[in-house]
Amino acid sequence: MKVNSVFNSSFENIDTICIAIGRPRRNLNQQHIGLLYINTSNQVSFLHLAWHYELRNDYPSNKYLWLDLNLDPLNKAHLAAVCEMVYDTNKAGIPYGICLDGSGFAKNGKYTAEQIYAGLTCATFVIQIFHSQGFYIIDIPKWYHKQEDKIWQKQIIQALTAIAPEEHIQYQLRKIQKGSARFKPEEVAVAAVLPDQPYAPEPLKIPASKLLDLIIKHADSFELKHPTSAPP
Amino acid sequence: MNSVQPFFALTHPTSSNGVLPFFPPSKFYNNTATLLFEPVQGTFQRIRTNKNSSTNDKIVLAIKVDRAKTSTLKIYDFSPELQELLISEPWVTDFYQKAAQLNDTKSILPYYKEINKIIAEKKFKECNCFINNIKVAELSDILLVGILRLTFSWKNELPSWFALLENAKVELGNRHYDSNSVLRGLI
Repeated sequence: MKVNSVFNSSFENIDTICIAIGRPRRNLNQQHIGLLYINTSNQVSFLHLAWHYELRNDYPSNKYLWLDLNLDPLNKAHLAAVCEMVYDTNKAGIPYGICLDGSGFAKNGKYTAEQIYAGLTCATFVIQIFHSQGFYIIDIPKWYHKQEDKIWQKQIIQALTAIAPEEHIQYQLRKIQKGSARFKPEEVAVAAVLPDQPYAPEPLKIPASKLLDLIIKHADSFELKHPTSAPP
Repeated sequence: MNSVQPFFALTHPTSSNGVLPFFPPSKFYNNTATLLFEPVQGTFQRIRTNKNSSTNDKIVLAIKVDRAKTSTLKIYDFSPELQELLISEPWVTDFYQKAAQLNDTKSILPYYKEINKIIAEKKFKECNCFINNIKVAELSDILLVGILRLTFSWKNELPSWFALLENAKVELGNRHYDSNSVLRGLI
């Protein structure tokens, strides 16, 4: 698993499409993930669900690391086209939600939700892009809710309260109450790049932990070299 | 009994503006003479060879017309569904003509959007007809996997999807790809 950064490579050197992951705000214990790809204008684009109805397709910040995908060149080119299509088809945005159930792109590249208040996180957005094209990276039925997931989920819903309608918040809270598995960005990143997919949580623990160490180290070293840089 | 003309014997005089109308079917009944036929890129023609039956009818696409006015033709068995599809979705003609050259993200994206559009509109019959008439030998390497992946969520609505998968497996093998690896998740 080769991890690239602006300190040892350049975004322009990516091989068609890869995973980008980072800790955009060093002081927050929160990673962010998306797909980095070469778009039809031959430019590097970072497709990611930044927040509630904020689907972005922009140039990545130097704060992100990137990892090559475990895919052949044909499938990489196909997936890059899908990324651009997903952005074009969902410019109105995609809601943010903590539960994966009933949300995805499985039908036509357009985000669909079985429940009006369902949504995706940055990590489940990436999972659904892969799964919609038959690349099963996560063995979803094997992922269960853990008590520790609730802490993060409540924090994120607290932040969401400022911008999302009350009904959307209540739906998320009901999901938390019932118990909803969390897919961490670093787990999804390693699941996308390692062979022998799809993954249950257990085999991802060690590689995800190693990747997290690198993410934190990169965030620290980036902050030291660029102390005045603004958050994305 | 009407004789069926060998398809490549059918030719047609060049029209003055270079764009051909549909052939009036009556022109081909019992016609044993060689007719001049000069297809124009971006068009398709239905050819009738027997007035009592459309069984042997063909649809022809011109895929390359160069300065020397030589053309490469693609021939499809006629069906009312295919004719309707080519009329209602002009991008399909374009796709069949160019499929071998669509080998990068930029060139495939417009067609991906069109395919997604007909799926979003639940035009499964049209989508199935599109898939059914794909000739895997004429698909670019990316499209050999891309069309299957793009439509696999709807494969149960698209009976021709499974035949395309089988044909793509063989074709990928012919092109020295590991089809099990390239098509993983679909097989």
